Amino acid sequence: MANEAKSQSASSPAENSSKGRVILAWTFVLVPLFWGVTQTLIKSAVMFR
Amino acid sequence: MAFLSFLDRERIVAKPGFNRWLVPPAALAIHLCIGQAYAFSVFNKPLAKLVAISRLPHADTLRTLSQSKLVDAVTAAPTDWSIPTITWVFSIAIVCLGLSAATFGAWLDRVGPRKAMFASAVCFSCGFFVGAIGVRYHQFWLLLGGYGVLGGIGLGLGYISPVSTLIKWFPDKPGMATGLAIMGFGGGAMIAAPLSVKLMETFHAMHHGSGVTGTFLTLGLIYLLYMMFGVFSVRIPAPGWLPAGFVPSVRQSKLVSSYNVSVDNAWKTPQFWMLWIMLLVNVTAGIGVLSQASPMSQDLFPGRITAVVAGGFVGLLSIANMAGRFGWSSLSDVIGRKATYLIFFSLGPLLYIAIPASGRAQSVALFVLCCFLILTMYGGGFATIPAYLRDLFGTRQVGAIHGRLLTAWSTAGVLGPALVSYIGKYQTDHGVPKAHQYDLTLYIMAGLLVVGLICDLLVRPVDAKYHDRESPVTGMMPTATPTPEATRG
Repeated sequence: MANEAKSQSASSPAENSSKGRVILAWTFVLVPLFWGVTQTLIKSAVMFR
Repeated sequence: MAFLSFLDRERIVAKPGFNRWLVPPAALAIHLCIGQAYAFSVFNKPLAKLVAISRLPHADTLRTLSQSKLVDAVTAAPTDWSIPTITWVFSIAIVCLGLSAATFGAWLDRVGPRKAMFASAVCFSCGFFVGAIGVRYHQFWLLLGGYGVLGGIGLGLGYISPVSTLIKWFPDKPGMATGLAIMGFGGGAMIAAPLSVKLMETFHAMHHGSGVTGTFLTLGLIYLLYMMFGVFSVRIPAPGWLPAGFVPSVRQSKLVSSYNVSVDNAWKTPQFWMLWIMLLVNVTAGIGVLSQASPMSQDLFPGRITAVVAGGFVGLLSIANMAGRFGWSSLSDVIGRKATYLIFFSLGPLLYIAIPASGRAQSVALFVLCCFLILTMYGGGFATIPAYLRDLFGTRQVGAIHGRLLTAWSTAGVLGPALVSYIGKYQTDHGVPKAHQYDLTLYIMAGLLVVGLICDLLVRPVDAKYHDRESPVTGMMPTATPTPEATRG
């Protein structure tokens, strides 16, 4: 995932996109999604009892 | 307004070193919020008993009950809104979604995704705030105008705003990229439903009312803040940007255009209307299963599937809907969009026909499998269409074209439930046994999918007379070695 924007113009200043920032961003959206899916699965579990 | 200049398109052009994998979370943040719309039904029962609950005497023992039990125990007052009245709020929101996407799509392409996402966040959250006032003072027009119209406009803007941006960031895998965002729309309901229930319980415990007003205000605030993450994270690629190592194709599929088509020209092409019909029938057919899933499962398997189990089954279908959005759209990058829809429209009818057969054979496993696959294809249809549009019409105005195509969703949102309820009533009036009441609906839905199949087969490359005279599409320029993923239709 690193250096994805290699072919951009070199004249503008660089933008920090560390792996940590990417992981943090994904965590921010995936945690609530995981919570929602888990809640749904708990509700669906009655089907398999 | 100078203080809003941070929303300008020029301010969000990515600088060198920006990692494109930061864009999908921005898109997901928007879609996870607006996906709440699919969970609106959790408010149906409490909204239908607002007056009755407000009139309960303070010392009434019913007040010691939980919010859900209180709602079940209380009888609606004559002045309370009926459930069919309340469902209009969701229907109007979906209609406004399509209309706003169609109206503001060209504006979005002009001003960029940040301004559109910001407008979406403001409209969507204000929809909750105005709706809360409507609930508090029991004014239906405020609820309808707030959540339905204002919120619906926010839905439309939010739905299309990250899609064209993602297509531009991921020319090598546009299906996967848009699937990621649109998957969020499916997942949003799974977050909103339990969250809303918990909030209503909390506000009921605090104020002994229905808890809807407090829940609306809280959700509006949460969504406003959460969507701001998307607003401030989104970036657009610099002109001419391509991913490192990505080589545009020479021998790509005939369907993948090397030229852009403007939204006004796209509207005139038969290809646009073929895709419009395909989306319409796919959504209508999906609604045919989704809207009847709970009663159908109980009627086909009496004594084996109870109301509680049926509730779990509906939850499972929402997971299928979400998974299909990512899975099928990612697969379309490999096998092509046309082939993906060919699978939907050829396998789909067989699955619809198999549902009544599963009831006759009393095979719960077959029934669940059929419904699960149908719902993955329902979600997949939504998620794959932006990449299909990009293949046919290029990237320049794909947001605006996608917006206009979403009027098919609005149409299906009205047509689907009406068709299902009309056929259901016809069957009941003619004394058809409960276990067979769904057969005709499912056969009609299978027939609709065959119409979609014909449309998909008729999709041909866009005539050159509709192409823009400007430069060809970035990332599709026939300049070098072919890449495997771009060689299939």
